Amino acid sequence: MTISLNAETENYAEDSLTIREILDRKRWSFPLIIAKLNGELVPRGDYASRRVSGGDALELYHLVSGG
Amino acid sequence: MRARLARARVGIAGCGGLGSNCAASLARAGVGRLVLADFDLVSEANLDRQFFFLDQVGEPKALALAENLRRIDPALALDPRVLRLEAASALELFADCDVVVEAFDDAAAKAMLVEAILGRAPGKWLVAASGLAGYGRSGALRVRASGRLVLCGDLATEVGPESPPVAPRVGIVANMEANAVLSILLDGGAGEEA
Repeated sequence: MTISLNAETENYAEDSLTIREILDRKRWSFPLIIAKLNGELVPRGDYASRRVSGGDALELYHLVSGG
Repeated sequence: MRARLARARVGIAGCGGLGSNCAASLARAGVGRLVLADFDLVSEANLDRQFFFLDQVGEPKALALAENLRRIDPALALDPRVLRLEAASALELFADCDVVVEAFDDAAAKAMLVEAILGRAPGKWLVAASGLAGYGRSGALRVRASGRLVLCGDLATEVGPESPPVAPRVGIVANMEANAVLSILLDGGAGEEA
């Protein structure tokens, strides 16, 4: 599948992956992330169940402490 | 421009390094109404980057910030609240705000506010910050807009023993937040791409 990840094109052999699987593939290990799938916020508890498929636009942003 | 900003109401969630400096810029730019929320007290260690003064140590940050903003403009409509924001209280407190500025220190609190505002207040804009510790690398600090969420910072540099929050980078990100608020209030958009 081909998806848009943070506005960049990303290709995977699979037809779909969960958000959690994509985070693992990218080795993005920050504990707190904002995820938006096709513009909608995905609750943190749904990363392992929400599937991303071809044509989807996924946005993943790290939240790190500091202010 | 000043007339439109004078009517605007902006919520500041957290009055530390981000919130105090962001609020000061918004006040100077002419934003007329600010809701200021923070549970904490001014400490001497805060003076390295936060918009407070030595004689305010021990005062609640929300009240001390209101006092400082009134010295810039006595006509500002300020609503300072000394409280620790949770999802429900944030939604209630900021219900009448056009934009909310996320200015917390702790990443978990940032996530709480993002989920509350984006998930449960769909018409509201949220300007948040992530990644501002250390010094230098000004060019790594960016503004990303995604729907009604605007994220300022480098999205990577976490505060830790080797990378404390320091005045210049905190101030840059606080002003990126203030700048995004002005674009939202005046142009109806963040003025940035994702």
